Amino acid sequence: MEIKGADLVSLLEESLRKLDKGPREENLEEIGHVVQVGDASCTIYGLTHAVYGELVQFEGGAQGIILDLQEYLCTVFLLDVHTSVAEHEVVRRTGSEFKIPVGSDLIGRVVNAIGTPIDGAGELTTKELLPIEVSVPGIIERSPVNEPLETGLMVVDALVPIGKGQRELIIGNRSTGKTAIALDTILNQKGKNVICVYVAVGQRQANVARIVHLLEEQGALDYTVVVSADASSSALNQYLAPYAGTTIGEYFRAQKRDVLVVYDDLSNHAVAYREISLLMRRPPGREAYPGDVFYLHSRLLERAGKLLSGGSLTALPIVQIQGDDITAYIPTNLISITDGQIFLDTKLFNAGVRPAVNVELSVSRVGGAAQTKAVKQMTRALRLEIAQYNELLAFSQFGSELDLISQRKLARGAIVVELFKQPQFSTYSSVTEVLQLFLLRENFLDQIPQGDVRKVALQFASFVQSVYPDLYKTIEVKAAIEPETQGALQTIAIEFMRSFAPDKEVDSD
Amino acid sequence: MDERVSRKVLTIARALFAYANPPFDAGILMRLNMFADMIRSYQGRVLVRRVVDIIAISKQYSLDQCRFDLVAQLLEQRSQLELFPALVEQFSKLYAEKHRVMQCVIKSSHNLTETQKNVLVRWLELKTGKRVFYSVLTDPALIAGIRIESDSMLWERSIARQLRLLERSL
Repeated sequence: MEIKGADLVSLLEESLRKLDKGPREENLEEIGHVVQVGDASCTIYGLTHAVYGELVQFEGGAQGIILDLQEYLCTVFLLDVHTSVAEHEVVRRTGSEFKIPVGSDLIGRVVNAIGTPIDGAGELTTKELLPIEVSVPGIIERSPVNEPLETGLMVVDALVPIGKGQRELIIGNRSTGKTAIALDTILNQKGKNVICVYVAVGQRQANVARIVHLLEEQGALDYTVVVSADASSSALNQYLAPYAGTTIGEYFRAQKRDVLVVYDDLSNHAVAYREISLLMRRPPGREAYPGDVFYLHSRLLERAGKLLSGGSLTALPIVQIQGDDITAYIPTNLISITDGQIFLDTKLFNAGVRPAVNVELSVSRVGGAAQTKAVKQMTRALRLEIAQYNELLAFSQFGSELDLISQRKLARGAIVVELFKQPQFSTYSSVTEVLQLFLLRENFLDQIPQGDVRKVALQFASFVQSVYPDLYKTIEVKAAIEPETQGALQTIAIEFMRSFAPDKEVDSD
Repeated sequence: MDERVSRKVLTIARALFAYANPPFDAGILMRLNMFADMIRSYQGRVLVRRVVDIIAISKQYSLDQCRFDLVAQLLEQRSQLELFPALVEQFSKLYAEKHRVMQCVIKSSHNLTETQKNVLVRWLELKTGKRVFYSVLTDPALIAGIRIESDSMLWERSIARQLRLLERSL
């Protein structure tokens, strides 16, 4: 197509005519110029009225976020390090903070920290954008945590219960099953109307791919969003990812849905933030982390909670420790921020106790309020039994002869530990857990060889479900064991144990 | 120039500006820019009495009132004369800020008539509330349209801009 010079001149005169009439809508854009580029960040001269956290647009197409403001200079970290930026390039303010796309379209998708899909399944059709940094709900807007979020892991649901709206930290050494607990929790939300958001920060791409494949296979991707800022992402993307995941979760919470957000893991998040802060020459503090590393996580996790208006956001942050040292800087920060922790012990893991939850160091500050009455009834004094068992176990290793009571406690503790072992991707429903705990509480498992404890307990649960479906349903609906239900269960248990082990005397006391 | 040095230059420029307090002069910004460019290219050559030459050049550009002689001597004593051009630039920006002067470059795809330039300048002065001093360039890369750029503001209506926006959206 030939461009005529006369046409171009007339276009020019048209734009000048509009100016001459004094159009109010014609505005000057505030700009800056790049004076230094390096390390995925640029120093910009100008942008006098820019605000912290504002999104800026480079003339070459790159985008960045302002993370440092000085009198005439500001530091902008690039969202995409692969788009080149040249010195003296013009940078425009966009006038708005960084926002990500949110909406139901994200369910089943894998996106990066800026909300761009990376699963190859096409673009998002959602038009709604929300800022990643928002003010947290106030005290008046919140509701107490009183509804259980079932993880499907008996040891967690029984002893370290998590409620909807709670923040429960998962802490442990490398390869102790932290991600496994989070994934099992996600898998257990199938059919429970809970939206899950899995945020991978600094993970290997192969790991993320494996997790996505697993979620897809198990049908969990139908209610899960995966936000991935893997190890190859820039420090800025790893810094933004947890906030992006929380924003996605908050969108669903605002629709009165229950949401679970898993942050895997926040140690990598802190490292990314440290990198950004050091590049901005902020003074390093303890372990070279910046002074506001606590605020980095506290403002993230305070966004979780249950709202009076409906909807909840439960957070499961994960943190990795080195050498079982829970007194390190970031883990202690997170322990103080969250409403409890699930501590995974390497020794237990190596001894075959999986999930390797160290019950003595794990706690849920919400406690019984996040348990159904049935589970609460069945787990009364269970923690004490486990504590006594652990104490006696240490003592028994000296080889001295123990009295009969201590021996019985040891045997009982061993049964408890055995019962709480659970294979990965094999979650239990709440009623199945109650039935197993019932057997334990009523001492039906005391005569069973340790190796058969889990098999017997599971078979009892499926026996009740198939042969006594009404009773099963009653427990499920009422979420409590009433006296008549208790009596019925006793009878069924005696009958079951007789058929399972007819040569052994069944004594429910 | 790293951040610490930039801050030092800014501090010295502010102190000098507060001391010299030059009155408004229509051509001073252009002369300051030319002076900075001259010193920058001048410093590429090795000469014996550099400060004396800097002072002589500033007199040639009628910049005595800016008192660059004081700062040049100070920088030479501290062997930091290489900061001088940046200091002059900073001084020029402080001058523009104080006297509400805006220097801009008007680029257009085709030559502008005087009337057209006046329209642009009048609009800019209305919009910014500043006195506008401009230079005009022809830039065929705009294809059609105008681009007005200063160190802190930009206005562009051109086909090149439309194409950039289109490329970004695709």
